[in-house]
Amino acid sequence: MNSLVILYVEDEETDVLLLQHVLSRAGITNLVKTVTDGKAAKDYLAGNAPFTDRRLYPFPGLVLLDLNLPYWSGFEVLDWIRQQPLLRSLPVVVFTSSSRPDDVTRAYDVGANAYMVKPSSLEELKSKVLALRDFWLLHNQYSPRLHGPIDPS
Amino acid sequence: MTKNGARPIEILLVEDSPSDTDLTLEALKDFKVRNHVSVVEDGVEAMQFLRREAPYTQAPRPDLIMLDLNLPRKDGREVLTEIKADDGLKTIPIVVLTTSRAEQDILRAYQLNANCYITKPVDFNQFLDVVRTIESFWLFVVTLPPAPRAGG
Amino acid sequence: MRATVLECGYPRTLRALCLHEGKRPGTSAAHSRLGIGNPNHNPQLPFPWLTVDPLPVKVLLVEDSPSDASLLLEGLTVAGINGFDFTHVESWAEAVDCLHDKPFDVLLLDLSLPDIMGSETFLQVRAKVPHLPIVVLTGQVDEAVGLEAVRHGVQDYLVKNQADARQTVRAIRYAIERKQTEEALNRTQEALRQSEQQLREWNLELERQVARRTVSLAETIGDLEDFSHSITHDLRAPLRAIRSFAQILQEDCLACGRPAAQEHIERIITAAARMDKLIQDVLQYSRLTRSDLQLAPVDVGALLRGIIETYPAFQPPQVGIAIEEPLPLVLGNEAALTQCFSNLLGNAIKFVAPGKRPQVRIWAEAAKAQGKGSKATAELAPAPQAAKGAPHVRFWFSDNGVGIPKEAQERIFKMFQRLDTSRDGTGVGLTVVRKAVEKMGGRVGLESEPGRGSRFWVELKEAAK
Repeated sequence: MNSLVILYVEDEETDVLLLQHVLSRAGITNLVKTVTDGKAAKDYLAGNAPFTDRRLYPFPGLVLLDLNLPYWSGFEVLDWIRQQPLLRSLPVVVFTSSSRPDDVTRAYDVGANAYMVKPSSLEELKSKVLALRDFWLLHNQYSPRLHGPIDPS
Repeated sequence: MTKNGARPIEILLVEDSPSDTDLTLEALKDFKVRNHVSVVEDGVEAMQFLRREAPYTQAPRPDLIMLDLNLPRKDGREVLTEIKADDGLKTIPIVVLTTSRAEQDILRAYQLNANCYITKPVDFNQFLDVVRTIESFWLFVVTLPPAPRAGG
Repeated sequence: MRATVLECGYPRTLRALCLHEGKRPGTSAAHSRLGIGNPNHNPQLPFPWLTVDPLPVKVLLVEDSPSDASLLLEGLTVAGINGFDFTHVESWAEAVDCLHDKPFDVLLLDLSLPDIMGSETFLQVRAKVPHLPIVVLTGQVDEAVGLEAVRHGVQDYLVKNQADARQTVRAIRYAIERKQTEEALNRTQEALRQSEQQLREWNLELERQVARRTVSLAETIGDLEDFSHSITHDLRAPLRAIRSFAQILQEDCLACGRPAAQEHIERIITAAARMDKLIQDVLQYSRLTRSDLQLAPVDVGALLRGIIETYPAFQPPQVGIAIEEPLPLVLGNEAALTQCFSNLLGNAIKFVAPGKRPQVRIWAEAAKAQGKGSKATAELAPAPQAAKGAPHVRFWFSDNGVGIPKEAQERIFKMFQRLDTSRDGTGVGLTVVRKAVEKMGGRVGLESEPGRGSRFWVELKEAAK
């Protein structure tokens, strides 16, 4: 599934760099687009400025979502995504540093497909990324994308 | 530190094909994360198990559900709908593991809020591979939601 | 004094007295009768703080029979009694007017007056002059009435025509004293009542203050815990960066042929890993303090077996852990107990002498009653508040490590105390154990001597079967 685009919603630059490093070392060539806050995430998914050009900003097949975001929290972004009829079947994997049970429950409750805790070591990150790749990029089936306007509010 | 406090992960396998069941159980058996699999063979039993109705009054609450779509008595899609409509059950991740590859089925499953969709490979070895991938991701990498507090 | 007598408006009283004495009214001589300097002052009185007034005692005589009145007054004169200033009226109505006009020290009251009679008399009179001593005058036949009067708060009674002058004087004096005592007693009681009231109010206020402070304290603790939770949480992000990029650097550097550089990077990674572990342990501890643990029956044997199965570090051949089954069920929190036992096991295998294979033995026994048990046991958690009746069970974790000196045993459960910095450990593990066990209503302790290994014990409530 090399054509699947991953949208990574993450404000910590180091985490983004780390993920990209690990993905490339694992031979994953999927395109990873990054946005650094919730509003940008919504705009990206809705195709609003500055993300209107889908050649530059292709629609993602998978979203990796941090919970600690500025302005809008990851929960709010997730909730918004699930409210959009056209985005309901977009898989969102929460990828965050919090391991608090309340956060985990809430994420699944609001509609996350899966929840991953950011590991502290590179080794662990590699193994998580490989598991992620094997499951989501190699075996998971994705629903065909429905097209139409997405409410950006 | 293991999640769930070293308690084995409870899996509910909703599968009517005995051979597929055997394969899945085999693949899950020696996995590095301890797990325990309960099997039910149709949609009615699945809901009885989840609701702890007779004859499943002592059933453990699953941490993960693997669900075939084509089931006798009650279809997998109905089961999916009912689970996701139940506040006490809807956070349990559901891995749809089914034979169909049809776009309509995939779309439908996601619309009914399945967490993911896996098509069962026909090949035996590939099937094992797929189950191992499911294990690696869902049992090892993922943080599964905790059981809700009693009375809450 | 002159003015007061005349103000009363019944000058005939004084005139009567003066005529009796043969003295002219309006002269100072008349008033000398009323005497300055009191020969009746007696320091032996039982209530020495009651000063008997050196000024004449002002008596209001309410007697409708003129003969009875003069008999009484004459009797006093004949007996040479002075120091009294009598005012005579013949009805209660007149008496009331008099009482309005001037102060009296005592009331001599005939019980059969034309305008007030019977028991109503006492009530009316008492109501009118609550603080005035009263001596009632009663006829021979009415002695019973006199007694009743006393019961109603009158200080004394005199039987007319029977009481001589001395008795009259005594009755008057004692009536005054008795009244003063009574008043003092009332004042004391009132003061006492007020003190009690004040005390009650202060108590209430104190309780309110305590409640307010407790709420405030709880908020502060809550804030501190939130703070410590979020700060430890936020520390992990940059730490992750340090550790991961150091690891990337390490990979890139493998080929660079500079062993010193590699070593440096290794140290960075190790230090970052330690710090991360420390933060995780503290996070765990802070989570424990913040929440109430849900308790349920836990199969300790199964729990321990699960832990051993999960961690290769606890398995043979590196380590030998022997569990003496069966182990009882306890009332506890599974997740917290898993953490506790993991920490205890981790500790048990960590501190063996080099070259030795760590051996741990685990067994259970009924907890001994309070106060008994080995003196060597350092008890490091307070006894549980809950039912002393609830049976507790004690789990022992005995190891073949190097042992812990007595001085160190006190400190060992405190946060960040590490006795041996050469070995791995954050110093939080045992603190978590103690906190968790306490939250489950239990206790922890240990026995140890250097060179003889350590025996940690955990006491928990036994689960009802």
